[in-house]
Amino acid sequence: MKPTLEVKNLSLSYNLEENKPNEKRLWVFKDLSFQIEEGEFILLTGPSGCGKSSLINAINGVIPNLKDAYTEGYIYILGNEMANSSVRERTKIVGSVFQNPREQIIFDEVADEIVFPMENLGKMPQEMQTTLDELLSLTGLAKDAKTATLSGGEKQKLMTACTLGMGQKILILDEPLANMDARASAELLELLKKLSEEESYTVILVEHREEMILPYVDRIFSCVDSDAENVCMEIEIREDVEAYREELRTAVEEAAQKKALEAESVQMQSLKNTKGPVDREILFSVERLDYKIGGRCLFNDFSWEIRRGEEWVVLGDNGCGKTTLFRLLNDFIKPSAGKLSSLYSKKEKRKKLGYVLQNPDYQLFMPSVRSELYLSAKSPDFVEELIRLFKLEDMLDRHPLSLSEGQKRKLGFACIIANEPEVLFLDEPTVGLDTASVDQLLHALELLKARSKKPLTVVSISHDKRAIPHLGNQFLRLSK
Amino acid sequence: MNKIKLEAFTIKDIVFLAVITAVTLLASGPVAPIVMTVTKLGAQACAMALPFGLLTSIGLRKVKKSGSLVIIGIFSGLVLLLMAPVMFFNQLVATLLSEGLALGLFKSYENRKAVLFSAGLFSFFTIPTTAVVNILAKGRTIAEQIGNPLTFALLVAGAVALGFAGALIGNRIADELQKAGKL
Amino acid sequence: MNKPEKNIHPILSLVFSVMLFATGLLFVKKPWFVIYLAAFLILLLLFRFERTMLRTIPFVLIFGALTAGLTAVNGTPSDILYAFYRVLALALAAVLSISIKPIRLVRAFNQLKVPRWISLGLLIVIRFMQIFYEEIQQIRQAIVLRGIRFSETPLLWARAFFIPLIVRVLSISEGLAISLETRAFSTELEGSSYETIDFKKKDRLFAALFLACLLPFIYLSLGDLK
Repeated sequence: MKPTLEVKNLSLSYNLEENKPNEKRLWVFKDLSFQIEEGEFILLTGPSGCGKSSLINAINGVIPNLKDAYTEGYIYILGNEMANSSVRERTKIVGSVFQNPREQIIFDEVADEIVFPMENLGKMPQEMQTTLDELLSLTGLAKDAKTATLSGGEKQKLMTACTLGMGQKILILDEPLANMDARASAELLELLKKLSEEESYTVILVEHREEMILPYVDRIFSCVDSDAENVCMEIEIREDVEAYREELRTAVEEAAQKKALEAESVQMQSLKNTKGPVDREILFSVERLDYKIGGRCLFNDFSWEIRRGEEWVVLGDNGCGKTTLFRLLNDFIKPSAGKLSSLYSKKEKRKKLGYVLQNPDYQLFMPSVRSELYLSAKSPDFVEELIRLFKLEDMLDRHPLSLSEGQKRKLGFACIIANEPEVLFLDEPTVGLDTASVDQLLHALELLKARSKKPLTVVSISHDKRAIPHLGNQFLRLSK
Repeated sequence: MNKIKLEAFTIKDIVFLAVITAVTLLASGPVAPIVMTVTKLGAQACAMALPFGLLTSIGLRKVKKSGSLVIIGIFSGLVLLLMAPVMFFNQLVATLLSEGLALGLFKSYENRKAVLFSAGLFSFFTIPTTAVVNILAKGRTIAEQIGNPLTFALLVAGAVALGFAGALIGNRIADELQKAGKL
Repeated sequence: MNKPEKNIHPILSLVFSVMLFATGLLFVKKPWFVIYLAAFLILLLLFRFERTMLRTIPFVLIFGALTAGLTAVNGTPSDILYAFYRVLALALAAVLSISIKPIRLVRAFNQLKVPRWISLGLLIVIRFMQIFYEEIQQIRQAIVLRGIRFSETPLLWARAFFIPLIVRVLSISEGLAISLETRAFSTELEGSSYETIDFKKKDRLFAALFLACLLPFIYLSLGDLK
């Protein structure tokens, strides 16, 4: 029997010149070959920017049809060679779910969004109605719910439902759990597992948060650095999921031990820098706060205090108001009722508070990485330290927007902490980062703590289990 | 002699032009009160020139196909049709005139001057359409609409100058983003 | 339950909105303009457009005051009144058009064989105006967070505003285009429709009453011309 998907000697490079000799190209991957059988659930994992998205885009036809890249090799889907076929041809067989669902929704109501691909395929109204009803009960979404009011997780479910409605038996999902909390993630994974086991769907899921997905998958395709010259990555296929899980656990424990030692030494430094007893003044005080938006009450009689030097991690489901809380504390929105006071005046807040947004694209605008880093830096020494830590030396003259997503995130983080704030707000700082980059980021945070004249206050939002223990020692759990 | 090249628009082109139209309409939101309340001919064009010039020039640098500006005109006109029906014709005629002139002179948007002309003159060309509509719908003569000729001349000059300034800024932004590999 | 006004055929709403807009502006100075206005207000209320009418009240108040105020600078009292009437005429026409649900308009366009790229484009513009309103808020907040003030460094502020804005336009439109293509959207193929937008009895009744209201005023204005 032929495999559902077969990739044979597939190579991909972003050096677009047709006539460029192959030895002079920088390949994202070269001569990649693997097979995936019907009903398999595959996890495709690897560091950020290593080429996972490039690989899945080559499979679903986005590359080279909608994104430019030079490719060689063969892709067989259900036995047919598809490397040169259009997106439309491949869409008949392969369903794709992408990141950022908010930016893909075009209709006002859930039902219209779900039936849209079915309309495009020319399905009959009765057939659409039946499929719609099935998908609504599967995802738990309401037919006439307004898409604008859905939470991030619900939007992701909606986009997954759109794809499922098209009826393709091969599903490719690119980081579908990126902004989902544990419960929503588990629900989606259960659904995909059910589809693969009971209805023979072939599922390829790209995700960093391996520990959450491992219980569901049949095989792991791990992107690792390639030994070959001018080739960035190759794929290591792991059949034994349990052994992989054990390796991962050991690696995490070792890293945690190493980090504990590092943290101890930084703490010593930090103590040396602190003059007098630790200041415990209240920086933010929230008293009986209410916040309502669109008739929905996000906060009701909510009280909280943040004191200097505290390290908080704000936890909770998607849409429960974590980012809203940050926006309230930063004066971007006003509470509906209650009192929100701060030691800092509005003017002082702009100087003494740092806020790393979830998406670095909003905070990068200078013509070079260097000018971006030095724009609001307090001390050139610290900037140089950050450049070394984040390995930005070779990128200083590049435009920030030409960096990979992971590099941009690290640069955005570096720019904010280069200003050496007294209070640092971090909104999902590690989304989409590989473990090595998470380590760099946490190390940078320790460096900032060590430099701070007053004990650094850190308030973070995170879903990332790798980072949560290191981001704080006090937890605020918000619920809907 | 070079001919104007006609190419088919891809979904990617259409989506980009629709999104840039959405942003253009939004960016001109702050001047909406002027557009709605000031009845002096040329004042509306002057108020809209900068955001329209800037954003449409970026649109044309990204989608360099003949007809791109008219597509922006159709999209913005259709949305405005729901708010003020006359604006549909206003947008459509203005984009037809300015794109026609720019491509007539420079043949293709591969030539930056075509982008500059097309985006820069877009707002200016809404003036004649507004005048005609005012005559037909409101019965106001040209003389009534113009009022003080000096003010009118200043408003027309402002619409052209701000349109070109916007288009120049848009081109500079496009250059930088192209260098960064984003455009 | 669906809002009642959703039931009026979108193309009919659009056409009648254009007609109301044009005739409203033409009739502004007629002595019977108030009666014209009242006739259509009653008609719209009969067909349950009251929610949309309520939504236009802030517009009427703000723009009416602004227009009247600006006219008052060098206009006569009747000029001020006509300026306010113009805003009312505009709002009346807008009641019909803003009550149209975009998806129904798009489906009606598709049934009329309007090219799909036009109807899709319209949908994207409407939807993404809201998305980019939020994006612009985010960008403005990000500027504040980097400590940039328009009053201190206007050029840097403009850079910090426009570069992220255009980057977001590029990134969002690319993602959306890919999403649409992988959801089988095509400008060449017709596709099918989940919902058929037919002319119903209610539409025919509305059309008849609308024309019955409008024609006498057109007749009156033609008489004035003579």
